[in-house]
Amino acid sequence: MASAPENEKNASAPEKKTLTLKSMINNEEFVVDEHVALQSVTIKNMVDSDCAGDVIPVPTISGEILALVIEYCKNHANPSASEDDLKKADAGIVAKDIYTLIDLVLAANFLDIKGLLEVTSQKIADSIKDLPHQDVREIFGVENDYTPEEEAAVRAEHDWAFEGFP
Amino acid sequence: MAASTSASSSSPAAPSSTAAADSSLHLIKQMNAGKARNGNIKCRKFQSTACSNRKKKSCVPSLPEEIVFFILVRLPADILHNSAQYVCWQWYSMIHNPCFIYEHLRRSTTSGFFIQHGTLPYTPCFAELGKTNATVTEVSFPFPIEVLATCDGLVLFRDRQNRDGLPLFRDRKNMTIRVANPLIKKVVTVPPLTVQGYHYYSFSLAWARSTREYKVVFTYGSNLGLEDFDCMVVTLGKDHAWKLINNSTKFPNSFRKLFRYCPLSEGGFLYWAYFDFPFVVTLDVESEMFYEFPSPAVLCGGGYTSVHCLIRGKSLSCMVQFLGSPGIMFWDVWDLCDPMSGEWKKLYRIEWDFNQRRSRQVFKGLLSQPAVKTAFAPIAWVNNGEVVLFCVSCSRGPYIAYNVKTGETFTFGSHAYDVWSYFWRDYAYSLVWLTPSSLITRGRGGS
Repeated sequence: MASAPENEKNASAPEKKTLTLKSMINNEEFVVDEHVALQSVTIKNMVDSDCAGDVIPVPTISGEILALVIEYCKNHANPSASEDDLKKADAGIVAKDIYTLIDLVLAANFLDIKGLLEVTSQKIADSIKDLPHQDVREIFGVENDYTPEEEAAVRAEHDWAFEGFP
Repeated sequence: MAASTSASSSSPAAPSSTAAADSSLHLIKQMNAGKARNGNIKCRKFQSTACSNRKKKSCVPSLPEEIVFFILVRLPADILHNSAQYVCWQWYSMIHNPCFIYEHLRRSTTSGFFIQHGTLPYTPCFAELGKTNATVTEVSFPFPIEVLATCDGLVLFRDRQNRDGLPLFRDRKNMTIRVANPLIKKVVTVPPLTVQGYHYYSFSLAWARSTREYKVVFTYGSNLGLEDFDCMVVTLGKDHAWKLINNSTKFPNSFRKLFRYCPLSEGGFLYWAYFDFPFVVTLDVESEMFYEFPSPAVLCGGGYTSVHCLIRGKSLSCMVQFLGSPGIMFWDVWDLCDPMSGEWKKLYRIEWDFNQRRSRQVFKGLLSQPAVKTAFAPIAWVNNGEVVLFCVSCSRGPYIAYNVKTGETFTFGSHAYDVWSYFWRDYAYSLVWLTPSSLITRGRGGS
């Protein structure tokens, strides 16, 4: 089923094909060139298997975040961009507060865009690196589920442990 | 659908907008298919068992596990150990998972270098390099040590008290050799050596790639005439005793001089490469096979003033120094492409023009002595092979850090006059240990 429309596409697409991505959170729509959107493996799989309609709904991702994702994809779809340019552009995209970064990393994971997932994870790691673990808990919405005994046991690992040879 | 910014997407709410239902479901399916293909995620099974005893709410944070993995694997080992593991149980078990530790090691780059002074107070230190400065901190050990080698955050050492007691050859058999990870504070004793009467020797630590075991290699000259040498090896956490590597006899005598020097260790290979010896010898620690090939000192056809071999990133690198017209010094940096065939590639030329005002500022007091320019000795490559550290070997002075990509140069710290009694090696903390992580287990059944 995938091969027949493939030929058709090649024949009838000297002009740029576009896709519309729609955020299901605030119904914002983005029209993007197909080759830009196809950097998302998730979208590519949909298009390849002919499941994409005219408008591709994107659940759980807000328009604000989707705009960042599309900016990333546009930069990386440009064949004339140098590695340094891309690095600078990526740094600009992830120069956001931690909560935006968390939404962005979720979006990158959902849309399966490896490069964006990597730069965003790295940026989050850099941002939380120097924070006390209590703050990290708050940011990630994680509950402290250590029992006092467990926490004591983990802290005890900070004493030297000696092992002999077998 | 949840609009909250940190809403969970691990189980996206069933699509409520009816028109989009089909496509949304498809997207979710695609997402899951994408996950299954991703080879990096190996910890899921481990995780789910770790969480199974817990109440659902406390073990399902807002981020899916694979994203937590992606983020944590990018944190430095000391942050993971000293802070991140206290966040929650899920993070603790992920950080202690062998797959995670391996992936973390694979990504990590040597962020600084390990120093041990050869004179009192002998304190082992770690100098971590930033962009324009360095932070030097003491490295924790349970007793005084003398560092012999490092590998993947592990440190091979002998107890200092042994050496300070009786430094006679015959007493060396009493020395206690140990391996420690100073971050996670674990130390293991290496089985005692049974060899006696050796003349020169070196210890090194390396990793056998496929089994992921660490081996200590002991090279020694068996008599005073330097004619014979032997190599012994012990696999940590597994072997009870040292065993001889038998194929070392195939080398001609000229190589034997090389074995008097301590090898460098990286990526499962040991490298004997010293100054302008025309050959480099490597040992594949896993197969215990030796390889030999020419060093760049031969390839560049002479004219150099000195040659230094160091580990750069994940391979052996050789720096050949030349003096140009007065005040100009340059280094050619060669990288070894393949540790078995010995193919070298010239990557950079570092050029220092001491006539320039800018470099005079950086090197300040260092340039007063005429001999100094030839005494610049590279001692380690750090920060993913981007920064090379130098010391000036004939005078007391600071370390010099030079970034080969940006040309940025700065000085920090100081070393004493006698630089040859120092131990310097590129280093980064890791979570690596020899035996599988002894995880604290949650004893209570499904409360």
